[in-house]
This record gives sequence, structure tokens and C-alpha cells, in this order.
Amino acid sequence: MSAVAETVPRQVAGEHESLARQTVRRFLRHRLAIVGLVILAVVVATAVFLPLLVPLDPLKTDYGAIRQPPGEGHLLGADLSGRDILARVVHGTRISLVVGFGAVALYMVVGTALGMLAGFAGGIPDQLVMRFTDTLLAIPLILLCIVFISIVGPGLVSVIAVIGLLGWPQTTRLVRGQLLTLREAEFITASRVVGTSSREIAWRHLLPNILGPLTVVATFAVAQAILLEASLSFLGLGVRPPVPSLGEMINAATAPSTLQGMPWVWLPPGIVIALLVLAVNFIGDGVRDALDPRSTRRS
Amino acid sequence: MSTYFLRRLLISIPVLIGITIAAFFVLSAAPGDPVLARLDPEVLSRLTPADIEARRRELGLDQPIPVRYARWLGDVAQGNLGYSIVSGRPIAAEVAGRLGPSLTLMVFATAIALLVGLPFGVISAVNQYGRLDYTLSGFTIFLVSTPTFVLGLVALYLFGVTLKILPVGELFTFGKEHDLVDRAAHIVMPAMILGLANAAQLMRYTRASMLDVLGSDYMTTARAKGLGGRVILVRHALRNALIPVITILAILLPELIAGAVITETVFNWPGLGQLAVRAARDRDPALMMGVVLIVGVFTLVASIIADFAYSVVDPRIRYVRGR
Repeated sequence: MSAVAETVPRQVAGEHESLARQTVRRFLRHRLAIVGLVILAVVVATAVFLPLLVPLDPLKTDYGAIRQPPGEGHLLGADLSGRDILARVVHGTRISLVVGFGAVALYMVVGTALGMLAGFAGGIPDQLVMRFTDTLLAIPLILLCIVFISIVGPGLVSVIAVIGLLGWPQTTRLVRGQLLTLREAEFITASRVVGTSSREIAWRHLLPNILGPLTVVATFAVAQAILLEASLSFLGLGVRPPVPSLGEMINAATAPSTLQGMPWVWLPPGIVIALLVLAVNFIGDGVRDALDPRSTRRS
Repeated sequence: MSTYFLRRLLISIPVLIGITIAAFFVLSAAPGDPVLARLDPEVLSRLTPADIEARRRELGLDQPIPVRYARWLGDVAQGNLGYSIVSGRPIAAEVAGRLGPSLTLMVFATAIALLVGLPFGVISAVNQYGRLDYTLSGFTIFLVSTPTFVLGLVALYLFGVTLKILPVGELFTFGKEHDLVDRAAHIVMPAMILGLANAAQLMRYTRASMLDVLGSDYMTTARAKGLGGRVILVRHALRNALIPVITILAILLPELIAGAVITETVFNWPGLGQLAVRAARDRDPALMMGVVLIVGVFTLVASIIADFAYSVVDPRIRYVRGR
């Protein structure tokens, strides 16, 4: 970590260094963020490449290996139907990542669009969007998801859609808040004076200026979405059983015999979720500190 | 002061109605015919389309959604929340039976969150970048990142089935309904898990808020006056640091409800969260409406309480907003 910091020549603060480079440099000096990045890289690499290198079928039932503890043949053991735990954890992690990034990508778009509409248009659209946002924020997100899942039914696509279409209010608030302060900034007045159209101001001047805070929100949102998917699947309202999901695997532990007698079934997926969320949260901390110039004294 | 709260209360009512309207419309869009869904397939095969139509009219389902909503609202005003499609029991009774356990769990969990989060946050801030600060921060990061149900299951595994020192779920041991010790033993794990999960957030915010205050000019002044460590810490620093923390508490209360959904499932605690999960699994929109209504009331009352606490800690708010 420190080697990276040293290869980047130290410069006098604010002198001829682009904001992006400054940010990257600060991020690379954030020790925990690097730890998070390494953990995330390992988890992602394992989830993506391991199934390509060794045969890992999360659905294949090996009747000779039912309830088998970790050991030969099944590195992490097998579950009640003789399915390989390692294969299920690896494929479950893929699902977690798909949901985490997919849902957040969806709601960042929705949230930013609505926030820009509210902050830029003002007046009645602003009132409508903000009242809607308040209403959604008044109910805990997981409960909202449960309500919608009860209508569309559980499944991978519904989970992504439900988290993606319900998770945006915080983003909207952030974007609107940022725009309200930016709208009064002098460079915006200046571009108005030279006759730039509203659309151009929004795309060229406003959006790039809120990308920083948006990145921070998006990073933490990924962690939150991964947790949410795991929780929904744990409750039996997330990804449907044939598709392996970490939360669904842990659900098996609600049976006392599994909880007590087969910890290898539910402990590994629990550890992977915790590691994944931890890593993304660390990265989020790093990004936030790197983008916030006030935090330079902390390294 | 009282006009301020009256106004606050009056503002909450439209929000609550907004929530129920949204939920009602969404839940009405549920696929599948509620009439067919609540009939035994064997009975259904003997019914003619006219019989089914009669049932539909009987349940008021032939009306447009706004009319049905108005009717639902009228019923709610009279304390009738309708009937569960699956169990056939009145929803008001189902919900009422779960209010007690849910509230008990919430109160204990909040108490634990406060008792752990506030002091640890202050300790962490006072020892900024010290070993204690790093230990406590590490602990919070661990708590924030581990899903509640994993924490709960690990606790169940350790204390419930391995050490056997705490009961593994439900409100009380069968046949020991009035045994207070038994009841207390049953609430320890769910309240601890839910409380700790939220203590982590609270600790983070308390730490940040304390650090802000500790660096302010009036703290330097207080120290320059020669005031002792503990006095300024509690009277000058903590009191001011609490203001933002209380807002966070208001934000945490919905989190607490969300966490309760999971905790109640893990510990088989018969509260509202478990009821919500059941309503979703059974695809029971009427029951879900009841849960949404009660949780909506919960969160709004919580935010009003937080506002109240806010104005107690910071009289300036009372003065400015209460005019």
C-alpha cells in the first residue's frame, strides 16, 4: 500500500494536479479501502473464475454425500440433499453480486433522474417528487420490498426490480439537495448569461459536479442491496430455491438440527456475505474520504 | 410548543393516508383473483360462474378500486381491518395480538442500542485514534456488515443449542406463561441482537458528533476556564453532541422495525415483522394492508417522538419552529 503511495510523486497541495488524480491518490492511501478492494477482488475473482476452472454444480445431488462434513470430495461439505456447499456458495455469491450491482445501477438512474427533475425544475414537479420520496422513506425499505414481492412473487428478476425501483429515495434527496446549492453557484449563472440551454446546463455542468457524492452513495448502496437480497432470500421472499443464494442457504439453519449439527451448511455463506458487505463498506469509506478534501489530514 | 406538535400531528395524517392509498392500489394490482384464491379448489369445482360472481359482489370486489379504498378506510375508522384470506381470522385481532410482543422487543432493543451506542461512541471519540477507538470502531464495522440473521443464528448456536443457557425462541416456554424470569430469558437474545445491530450505527454517529463538538471553540473556552474533564465532557460536549444523534435515532427507528422483521423470524418471535413475512408468503393482500397501516403509524409516531426529544435537548428549535 505504502509502495503505491510513494511511486506517486508528492506534490504541493493544489498545484497542477487534477482533482481526479488527487482523489485516486488519496483513495490509495486509505488503508482500509485497499483492504476492502483486495477482499472484493478476491471474492469477485473466485465467484467469476472458479466455476470456469473446476466443475462446480450447485444443483447436483450426491446421494452418497448427504450431510457430509467438510472433507474429501466436498471441500466445504454437503447439505441435506447432498449438494456441494462450495459450489452453492460460489454460485450464490454470483447472484449476490448481480443483485447488488444490478439493483443499484437501476436505482441510481431512477434516483438521479428524479432528483434532477425536482432540483432543477422546482415548483410543482419538485413538490410531487419530494412528497412521493417522503412517503417511500416513511416505510422501512425491507418492508416495502416485502409488500411488492407479495404481489410479483419471489425470484431473481423480481428482487432486482423491487430493490431497484424502491431504493431510490435517498439518492433523489441527495441529488436534489446538491442541485439546490449548485443552482445558485456563480458558474451556473455565468452559463445562463452566455445563453446555455437548461438541458445543457444539467448535463454538462450540474451532473458532473454531483458525480462525487453519487459515487459514495452508490458504493454504500451496493453493500445495502447485497444485505437486502440476502435478507429477503433468508425470509423465503428473495431468489427462488433452485437458484442458489447465500441468504437462502442460511435459511436452512432455521431448522434446529441443521443449526446445531451442520454448521458447515450455514456458516460459510454467512461469512461470505459479511466479508462482501465489509469490503464494499470499506471501499465506500475510502471513496468518501478521498472525495472530501477536509479529510486530508486523515490518512 | 403544543401548537407545534398539533401541527406536526396534523401533517402526519396525510402522509399516513398517502401510504395506505399507495399500498392499497399496489396490493389491488396483485395478480390472481382474490375470490378464487380464498376458495378451496374442491369447492371451486362445484361452483357456477354465477356463484363466483355473487361472492365477488358480497366481498365488494366488483367495485372500482377508489370505492373499495374508501370502504376500507371507513371500516378502519370503525376498527375493522377485514379478514385474512388464508386464516379467515379478523385482521384487527391478528395485528393486535402482535403489537405487545413487537413493542416489547422494540423498547428493549432501543434501550440496548442506546446503552451500548452512546457510551461507546463517547469513549471512542475521547480516545480518537487510540487503541480503544480502533477496537470499538472495528467492532462496529463488524456489526454493521454482518447480516442480523447471521448474528442471530450464531447467537442461537452458541447460547441456545451449544451452551444451552438461553431459550431458542418464542415468547415463553409452553406452560410457563406467567413466569417473569422465563419471559425475561426469552427476550434476552432477540433484544440483544436487534439492539447491537442498531447500536453500531448509533455509535458511529455519536463518535462523529462528539468529535465535531470536541473541536469547537466553546470547548476550548470551557477548558481554558479550568473546568474538569468529566464536567465539560458531559455538560458541554455530550449535550450538544446529542442533537444530531437524536435525528439519527429517528432515522434508526424504521431500521429497527426492518431489523425486527428479520430478528422475529430468526427467534420465532410472534411480532408484526413475522406477520408481514407471513402475509407476503401467503400472498394475503388484506393482511398486508393491516401490517402496512400499523407500521406506518409506528414510524410516524416515532418521528414525532424524535422531534419532541429534539426540542427538549435544543430549546432553540422550540423557539424558532414553535411561533
